[in-house]
Amino acid sequence: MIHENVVCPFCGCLCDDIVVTTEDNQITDVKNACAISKSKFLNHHVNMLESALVDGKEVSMDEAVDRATEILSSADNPLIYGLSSTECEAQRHAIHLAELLGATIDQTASVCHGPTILGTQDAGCVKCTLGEVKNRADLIIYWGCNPAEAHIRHFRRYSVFPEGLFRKGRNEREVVVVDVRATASARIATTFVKTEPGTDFENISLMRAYLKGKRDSLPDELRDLVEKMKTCTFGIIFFGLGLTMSKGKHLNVDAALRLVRDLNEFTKFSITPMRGHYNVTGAGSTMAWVTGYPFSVNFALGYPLSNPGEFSAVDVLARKECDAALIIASDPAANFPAEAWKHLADIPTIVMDPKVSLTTRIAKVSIPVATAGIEAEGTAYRMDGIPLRLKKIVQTSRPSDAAVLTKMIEKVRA
Amino acid sequence: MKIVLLSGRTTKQGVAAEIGKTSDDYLQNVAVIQLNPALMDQMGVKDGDRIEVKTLHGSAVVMCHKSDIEENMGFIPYGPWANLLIGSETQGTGMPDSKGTEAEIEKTDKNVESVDELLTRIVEGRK
Repeated sequence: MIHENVVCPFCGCLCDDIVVTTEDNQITDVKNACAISKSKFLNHHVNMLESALVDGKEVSMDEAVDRATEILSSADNPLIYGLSSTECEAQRHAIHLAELLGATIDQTASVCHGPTILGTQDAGCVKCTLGEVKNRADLIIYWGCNPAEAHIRHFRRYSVFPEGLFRKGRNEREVVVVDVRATASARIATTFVKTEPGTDFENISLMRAYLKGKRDSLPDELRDLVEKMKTCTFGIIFFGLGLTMSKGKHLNVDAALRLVRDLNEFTKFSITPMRGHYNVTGAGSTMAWVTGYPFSVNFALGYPLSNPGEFSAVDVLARKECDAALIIASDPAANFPAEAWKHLADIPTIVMDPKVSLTTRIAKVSIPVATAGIEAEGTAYRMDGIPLRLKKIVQTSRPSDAAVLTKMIEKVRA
Repeated sequence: MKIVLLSGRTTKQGVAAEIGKTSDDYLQNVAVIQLNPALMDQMGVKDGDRIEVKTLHGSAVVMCHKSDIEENMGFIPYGPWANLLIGSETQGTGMPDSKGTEAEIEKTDKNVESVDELLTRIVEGRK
């Protein structure tokens, strides 16, 4: 059977033109996909969690969910973390569960584009869709990101190469890459601007000063870049973790957002974060429309409070403040500093994941679930905030994240 | 030798993670550090040799690969080995300093730890 227009559940590009062939409920071929997407579809059944586990022993699904609920209900300060690699309905149920438990809930943005959210709350954001970029942008700047390795079809589908309404191809667009190293992405750029690590805030602030007439101290390469930005017809900055993870963090993003705002005095300019996990944008949106806050939320007082640094997962774990954890569609033992994740081995940790991960290796309870976007349907948000529908293309007896969380909610309420 | 440590995504890391983080593909593509060839010559190491990377927060043994990165930098893909080297301080943002940490590197005969060895060391070490 051939499934057309499948949405890829890997990165924030959410490419929606994947063609997947299945035979006897197995994926046998994937077309239009990048190398990572292909690997995700073709290997989705490899290294799966074969059964539910409690203390390393195989148990029934019901027993695992019962044990998980007991642990969470008896904890004083449980942590719920993950969410960005599952669909929005599951995210909504996870937030509901956090409210019932009086838990802290955080999503993976806190260790990727959390600083982008903080910067946006401060400075606002001039946004546009990837469709507008494709149709109109004549200056495309990738700053502190490497789509050639991380968002592989971004160039081809949305920015550099596609045939748009007013921009017909590569030769009608100027591409600039700004980074601390000459990445694979720098090779396709018209201009590569190399910066020193930890200097983004300073560089962007000097560019803003130049725009406001203070023209003395800007290095030549950055002056040329500002001039290009001022004189283009429609410009876009795509930025990545080069800004959010290095010195300055949210202040770097804040400066970039303000630079784009300033540029709109001269021309049309927008800015978009290169979101990593395919539904991390959805996790922020769902948390914001349910709780009022996009990440790092605590329900201990019965109503939501948000404070990154206090209720963010890395900080909660590093300070050993939680006494149980529910990890949904994420692998903090692989992605968090060891100093932080090791607390997960000290407390009863529950993991909901389709696959064996580093965190399932140290978990007390492991619950195998359907892979969203392959074995379960749902909604995901693209990096520009456009919601797309994930498809179910393979049948499975495993429950979806949403179904498991619904059961947990029923048991907590009982 | 002192370097500035960077971490980030690579295609090979992404492909291998989808096969499984306990797979050999993942180890081969994530427990690596990309270094400048001139720096590797100075250190007397060649492609595939093992390097011990130390920071204020921990140490990791990884294989070195040639790259056109700057001489004063090293790049380790996101994953459990890079996360041995990064601290948990977030300066009130939730975000650790995952890029730009100062590190010391030297050639070593120590083995690259598998995912399970690494987990056991951290879990046992906390007691």
